[in-house]
Amino acid sequence: MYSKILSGTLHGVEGRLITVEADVSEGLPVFNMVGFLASEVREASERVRTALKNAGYLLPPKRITVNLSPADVRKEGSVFDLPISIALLAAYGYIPAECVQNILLLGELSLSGDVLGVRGVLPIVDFARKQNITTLILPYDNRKEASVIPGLTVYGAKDLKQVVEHLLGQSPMQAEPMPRYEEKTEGFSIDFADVKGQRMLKRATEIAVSGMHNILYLGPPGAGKSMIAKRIPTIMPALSYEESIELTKIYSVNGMLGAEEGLIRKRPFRMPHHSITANALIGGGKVPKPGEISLAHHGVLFLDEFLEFQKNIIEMMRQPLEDGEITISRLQGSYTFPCDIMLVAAMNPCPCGFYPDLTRCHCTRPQIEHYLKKISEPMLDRMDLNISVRKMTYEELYGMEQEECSKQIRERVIRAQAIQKRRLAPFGVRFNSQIPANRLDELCGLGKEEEKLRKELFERYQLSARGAGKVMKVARTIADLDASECVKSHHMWEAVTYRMSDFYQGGGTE
Amino acid sequence: MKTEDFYWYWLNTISGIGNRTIGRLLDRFGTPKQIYHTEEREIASVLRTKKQQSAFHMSKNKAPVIDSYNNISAGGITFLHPDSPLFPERLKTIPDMPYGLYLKGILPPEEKKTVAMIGARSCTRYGKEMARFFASELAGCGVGIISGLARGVDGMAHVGALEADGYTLGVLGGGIDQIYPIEHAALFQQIEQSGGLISESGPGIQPVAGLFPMRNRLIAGFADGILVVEAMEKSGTFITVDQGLEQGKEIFALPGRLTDSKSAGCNRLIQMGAHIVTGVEDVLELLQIDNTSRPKRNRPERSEEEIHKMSLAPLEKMVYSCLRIEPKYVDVIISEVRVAPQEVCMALNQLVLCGAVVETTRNYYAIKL
Repeated sequence: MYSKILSGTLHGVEGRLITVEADVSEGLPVFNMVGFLASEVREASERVRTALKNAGYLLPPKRITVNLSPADVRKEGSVFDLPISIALLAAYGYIPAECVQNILLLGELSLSGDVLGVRGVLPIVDFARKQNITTLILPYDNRKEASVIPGLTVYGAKDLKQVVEHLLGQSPMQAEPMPRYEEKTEGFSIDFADVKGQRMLKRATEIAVSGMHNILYLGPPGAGKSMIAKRIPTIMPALSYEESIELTKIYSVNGMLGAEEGLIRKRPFRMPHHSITANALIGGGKVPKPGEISLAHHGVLFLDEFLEFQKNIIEMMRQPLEDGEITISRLQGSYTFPCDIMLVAAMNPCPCGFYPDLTRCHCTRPQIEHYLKKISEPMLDRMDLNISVRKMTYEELYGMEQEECSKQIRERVIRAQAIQKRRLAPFGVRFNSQIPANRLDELCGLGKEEEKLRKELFERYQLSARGAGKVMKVARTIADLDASECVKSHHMWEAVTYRMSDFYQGGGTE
Repeated sequence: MKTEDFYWYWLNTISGIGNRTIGRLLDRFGTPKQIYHTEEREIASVLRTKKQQSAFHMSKNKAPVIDSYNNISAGGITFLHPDSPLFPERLKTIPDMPYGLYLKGILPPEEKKTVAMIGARSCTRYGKEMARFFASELAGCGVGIISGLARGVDGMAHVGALEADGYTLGVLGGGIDQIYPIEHAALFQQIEQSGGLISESGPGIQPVAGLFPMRNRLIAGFADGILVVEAMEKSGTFITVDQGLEQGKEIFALPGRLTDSKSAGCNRLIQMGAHIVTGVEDVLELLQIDNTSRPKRNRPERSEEEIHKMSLAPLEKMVYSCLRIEPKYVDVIISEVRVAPQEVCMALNQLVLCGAVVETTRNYYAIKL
């Protein structure tokens, strides 16, 4: 007899439907599996046979053929154990064919017949929903993840027997209720109020977040660069439902979702060590998986000790940073992962780290210049703001001054971002950092006075064309924080403070 | 090439034979020409090592000497010896006078008053700014500024003199064509064009540490007065001061704070009797420079009146009054004026643009003298 079951597989962070066909016929007792299978899929035959036996279903020796179609898509992973076993039971006549129609099954089996959790469920489920498949049977551990897609009936199965009895209508399982999505911003254990003093640093960070500008911190070890970077997600607006789905898919594909975790609600903060390889940062592998840059999607990628990263790796980030996605091509096809991130980088101002504190820094001018040259010009071009950080004094650290909390800052950020969204909608971008260069002038609405100032600043600070553009983009964000329709001179005055040039002019402090 | 130029150049370019040995040879045999024609057996009694003797023997071939002389002349380098008309008179009286000098650019006129400005290489911004200020004002009054083109005080003294379109002479430790430190490459070029570079060593001689004390006696030799800008208690600066004292030059020093180790050397000099300098006129008076042109400003800081003239906005004035010569981090300024960061930034950048303030490093600000 012949049977057909729906299942799915992954291609990058997108799902694809796979049909599992099983046929049982007279002949020599063999178990044949075909359909462009990876070895872990091929091994399913042994797991399935044993699991079925241990669950109490006897398979009389017959010629079994299993085909996973379409035959030209490579099948990987362990999600096919459950669909194959159900297809077999249907082919053997244990389950009537009409009971398994239009139900998508995913899941790995243990030899005892338990259904084990798998990775990459959400993208498959999302795709299935778009194909009008509404009923799903999944591993119990993956039920939360799948139930976030509206309009689906999701059953979380713990073992094979439960699935069979459910399909036969003997003891139906409880469908997983869809959790109500709430935009959640609380729940961070850290807050901006933890950072004492550092008013310039906070101001620059607020501007950077408001316009999703990449920011570079320059300062000695222990000045609080990482401390503030870790708190950036706390002042970002809550993830929207769509953003959350996109992000959760990436984590699902990488197998980084916990069993009780549905959608990811917190903006990610990723802080890879500087020894990271290109594949781990950008994404890669034989079958490409998303890298850190994608795991930070809609959040913050923090590169501490920026200059210690391999130069070629940093260079590789240029294109993804600009496009908001990364495409990796392999023999089996190309894979696209989203990576719409805010890049935050931190570095020391000199080899010893203490410049410009000349009581501690004895680096010579050539040493410092050599050190700063390690970062390439094109990479600096990707950063919009620069701020130097200083070690705090005792008074600042233990002063009684009440610091602003993340919530207050976040409200301002949300307002500024809402303004940008409205203004930039016709241009297909969301943030000031993404404004195309040829649209910048019309979006800034400079008056006569401002244009004169722009020329003055351009000449005084010897800005490059790109540098000047960035100052104007930052000024645009400052104006948005100020709820000002046009960019005024005082916005430009402030923006030029954060310019990405002349870090080093040879003057130290005592 | 005159014959005497040839003999002097030959004597100065024999490897292994330094200034002192030349002095001994001249004492014994008279002129370079006579040395050249003296029998080598006799010369050997003055040259102590075998190496020197064989170098002397090898050097007698005329053609390479003439070639090398023509080469340096073509490169814009003038070779000076005690018999050449250009040789500075002031160096003839110093102990251990040099017998050969290499010059790019021009020497200070004999009647021109000169001040050597010296100090630490790793100096504070205070030291740098003082060096620049005094050099610029003195040069503006027609005083030639002599220094050693090192990092820190030396370099800034040259910069100051150039800013005032004055004369400045750089005395080098290494060979005349050696640019050291490399970050002063542009400064070397400027000085060569409007002032002079001089060295006791010919082209190709590396600037090794041992050459610098010798260089210092020339700095002192060229100067009528020596102004120590900033020096630690133990400093190479004192070599120059000692040489200057030996040569009978006036010593000046800028006072510093007692707690500031970078100024301890200056304070010690004052204690020992150096002239304390609190304004440009102190130097001018002591060196009896006729004050036809007065310094534009006697003291480095801007007076109330000058600040008033800058017509600053109230916030700018407030921010300006927080700033010092030593750079301050922007957060410190913010907490001192108690105004929002964005407004402080704006005031600071406006002050930078109008030239009253400089940003010494990112987000560190200091007043500009």
